Amino acid sequence: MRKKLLFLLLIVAIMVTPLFAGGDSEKAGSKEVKLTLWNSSQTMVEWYDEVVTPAFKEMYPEVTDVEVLYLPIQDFVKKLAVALPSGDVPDIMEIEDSWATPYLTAGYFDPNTPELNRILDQMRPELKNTVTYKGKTYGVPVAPFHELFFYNLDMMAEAGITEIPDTMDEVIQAAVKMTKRDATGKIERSGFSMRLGGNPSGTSQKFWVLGLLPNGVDIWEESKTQPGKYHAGFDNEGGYNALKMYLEMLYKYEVDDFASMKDTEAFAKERTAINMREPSAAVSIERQGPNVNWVAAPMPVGNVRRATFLITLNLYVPKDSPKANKDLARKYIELATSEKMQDNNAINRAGFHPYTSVDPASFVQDRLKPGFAMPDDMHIITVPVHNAYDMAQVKLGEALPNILKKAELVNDPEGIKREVAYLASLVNDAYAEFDEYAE
Amino acid sequence: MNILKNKQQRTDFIFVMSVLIPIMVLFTIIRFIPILQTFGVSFFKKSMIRPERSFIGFENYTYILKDKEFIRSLMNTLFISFFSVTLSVVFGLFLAMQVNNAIIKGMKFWQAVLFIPVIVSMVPSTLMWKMLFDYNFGVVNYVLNVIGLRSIDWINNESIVRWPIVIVGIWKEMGYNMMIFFVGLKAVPHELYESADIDGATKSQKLWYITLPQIKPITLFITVMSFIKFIKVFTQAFVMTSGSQSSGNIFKTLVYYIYQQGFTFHSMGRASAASMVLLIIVFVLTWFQMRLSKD
Amino acid sequence: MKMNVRRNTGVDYILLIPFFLLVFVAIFPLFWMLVTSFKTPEEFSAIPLTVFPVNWFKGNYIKIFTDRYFPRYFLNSVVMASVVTVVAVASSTFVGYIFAKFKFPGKNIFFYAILITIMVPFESFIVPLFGFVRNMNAMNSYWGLIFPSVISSFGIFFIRQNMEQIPDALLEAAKIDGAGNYYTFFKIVVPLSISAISVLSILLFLIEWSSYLWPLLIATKREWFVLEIGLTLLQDEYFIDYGVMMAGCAVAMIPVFILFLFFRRHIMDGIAMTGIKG
Repeated sequence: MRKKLLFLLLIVAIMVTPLFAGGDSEKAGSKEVKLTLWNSSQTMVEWYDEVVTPAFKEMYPEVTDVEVLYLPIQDFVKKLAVALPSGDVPDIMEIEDSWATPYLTAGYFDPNTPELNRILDQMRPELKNTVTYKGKTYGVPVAPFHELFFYNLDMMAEAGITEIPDTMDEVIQAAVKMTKRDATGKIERSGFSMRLGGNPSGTSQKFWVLGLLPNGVDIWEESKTQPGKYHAGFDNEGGYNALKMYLEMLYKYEVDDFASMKDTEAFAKERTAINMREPSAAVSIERQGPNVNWVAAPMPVGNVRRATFLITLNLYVPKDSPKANKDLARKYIELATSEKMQDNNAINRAGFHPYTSVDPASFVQDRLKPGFAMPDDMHIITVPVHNAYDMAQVKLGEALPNILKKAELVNDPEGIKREVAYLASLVNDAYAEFDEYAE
Repeated sequence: MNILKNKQQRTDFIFVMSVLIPIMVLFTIIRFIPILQTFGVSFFKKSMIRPERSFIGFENYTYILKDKEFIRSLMNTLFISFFSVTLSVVFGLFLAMQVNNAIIKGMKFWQAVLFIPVIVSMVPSTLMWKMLFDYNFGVVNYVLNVIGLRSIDWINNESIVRWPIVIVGIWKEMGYNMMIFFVGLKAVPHELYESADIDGATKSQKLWYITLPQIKPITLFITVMSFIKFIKVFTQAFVMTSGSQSSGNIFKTLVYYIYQQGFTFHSMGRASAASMVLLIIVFVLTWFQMRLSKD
Repeated sequence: MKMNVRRNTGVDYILLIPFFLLVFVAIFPLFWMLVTSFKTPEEFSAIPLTVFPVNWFKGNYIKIFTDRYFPRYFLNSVVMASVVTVVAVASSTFVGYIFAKFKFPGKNIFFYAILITIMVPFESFIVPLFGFVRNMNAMNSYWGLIFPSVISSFGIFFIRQNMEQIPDALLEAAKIDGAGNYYTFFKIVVPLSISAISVLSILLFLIEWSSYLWPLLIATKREWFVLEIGLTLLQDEYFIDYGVMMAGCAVAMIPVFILFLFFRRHIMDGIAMTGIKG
């Protein structure tokens, strides 16, 4: 009986201790400050911890630490959805532009101070688009990235291709030559790794940059009569050509199929010859496939134009963050987005240097350089702040794989038009959902 | 005698209330109120991340019932639940009887082995099975090739991927059900078997007339609980079909749908309405199962 | 406790074939998991496939154990899961008992109200629940981690179903002998249900041990993360590091498996009803 009693006491003790231990750890009266930063990009953590924070502590000795809390993106979005409305927020948040949009428009972030805007003014003008809402700016880009192509040089040599393709047609021709099949006809090595499913927003992001943008169209189009409202931008010839190209790559040129190994992993394991991805995938390729002989190149010229997106991770100060730390939080953002720190970020993460005064290609390793040298005809597209964007992306990305599975569509122009109109209706519905739709 | 009975009743009543009241208070705080709030929100247009809301009656319900994605998720979920529950209950009972009969030595060891899948986390388990079912490197296709069959693309086809998902579920659930059945089998009074032996009953007669009726409450419990668990299936379906490595669609289940409405589209109203529809479906089917087992 | 009369027929032995087939299905992925946890990423994706690692690579385990927060994650998980298990098993046993063996007004309504709560997915009411717990000032604390799980509808239902098998005559006899309700409960009912209570303890511990979403929302500091979350943080952003994942999985399994072995004695030797002379 005594044993049981002791056991019970132990449990009670365990339950009660945290009540005292769990309280707020901020010590009143002391001048020491600890900042917290949440992020969802693993490769950034090291940069904050080892480059930005030490420099920051030197400038502001009262800061004892800047704690970075990393969460994988799927967990991060859940945390955002709960933490921002409840006000349990850190001093600084790093969020990808399109994920931040709904919170930005709901007023969960502080507008930029003049100091922060001054930094913004020195950056590429396209970036401003991602942080401007109703005439005010919120947040500063800390890690912009664009899309580029990774080519496996050994496979190109093997197929007798001497020059890096510069147009989408040349890419497809090269991909056809590099596609390898086994005796049963199953693809062992794809010529071009297509994104055909998985996380829906990724699927539509790739369709956007590979299909729509080079064909001169966009997922959205701002209404001509009502600024600030949108509708689908691809229910037209550009959208038709984009979907047709995807279908032809699958069923006419057969450079990839649904069952093959995909993306960065396939590229690192030499199971695909060409892969399209953001530059920081290079880190992963080097780790998984150190012997792969590759080079990066900019997006090729499509039917209408050459284009890439510029997506960015931004640093925000949440509205409900501790008031006493807000000034320091802004100083930290100023430092992290300064030209000097961005130099370093560009080297370590293969990031896109955001300053107009700097050549973005000058900081990255040699084989990435061609991918950063922006040809003059490059159109750089950014996402304006609008609420429906995320939903439109998800709906588009969910519908695409089903359409792409219909092999018969490849010879059915009317069918393709029907599917494009259907995809556009999904996007329009999303805009209507957020009262952002207008013809 | 009468007074004694009343006294007994009174002490019983005090005992019941001393247990029931604190528990019901807890249930009210951490279950009933949040669920009722969810029920309430299902009649509003409400964003998860904005405070304002407006009453729209049954609009959320009509929206989801008309939504093709919802119907698709519902069908997927019912499919997964039906096969996972049936097979894992049958296998669980079979395993528990084998372990209980112990006709060979070492059954304790095998029982422990069979229980291990239960304690492995769902995400790694699913990834493990996904590896085994991989089109290019998977052991399953390797075996198919060895016996002269063609490789099957298990993961990227919505009508095929449901089988690996069912298999993961059964794999994890059968050991669980085995343990609970085992407890039930242990509790069957021995006299029943002994007197049956005296009457010269065969094994199958004993199974049919003694064991199965005796474990009926446990069987009902396991079926209902497995069903409730599987209708909330999410992780195995999501992990099996998501990630940039996967091609094809994410295999949507009801909970994924609710999740997406809530956490991705921030539509609290629709997420709540979908939960309520799920609740009604589970409730009706559970009630039906309980009814069935009473006859 | 074994049956004395035993006539094993051929059928009994034939049934061992599907039994061992299922055993194989149960352990093969686990075996694969274990060998994978000792492979380097290169070896994992090597062609042709190796079954056993060429050299047993310990880096995956080292990566886990050298994580600065690993002891803290582990402690949090242990405290959370143990306290929840003890409290929820105790409450379920009491409540299951009164639902199984007592008559009182509104019994069915209460029971179904409790049962209904497991039919609603946790995800759908997590937001209002979070709001409540947050207002208790329980963010980043064991209270916050534990509070939503101290009751278990599953446990109540499970115990009720098991205790219904206890013969009423046994309890009546105790009462006529003048035993109080608590005495009857602790000295007769609990020992008779020890198998069920043991199984329930394992299952509830397991559920809590693997809970993810709630701990994720309630912690805003790394020292309040639990093991399951901590292990995902070790994953690579661009590809699934199977080695680390499987090693993590093996590490996370150990406490549950130990608990299982501890309780298994009670489950196997659980007193069958007639073992006690009423």
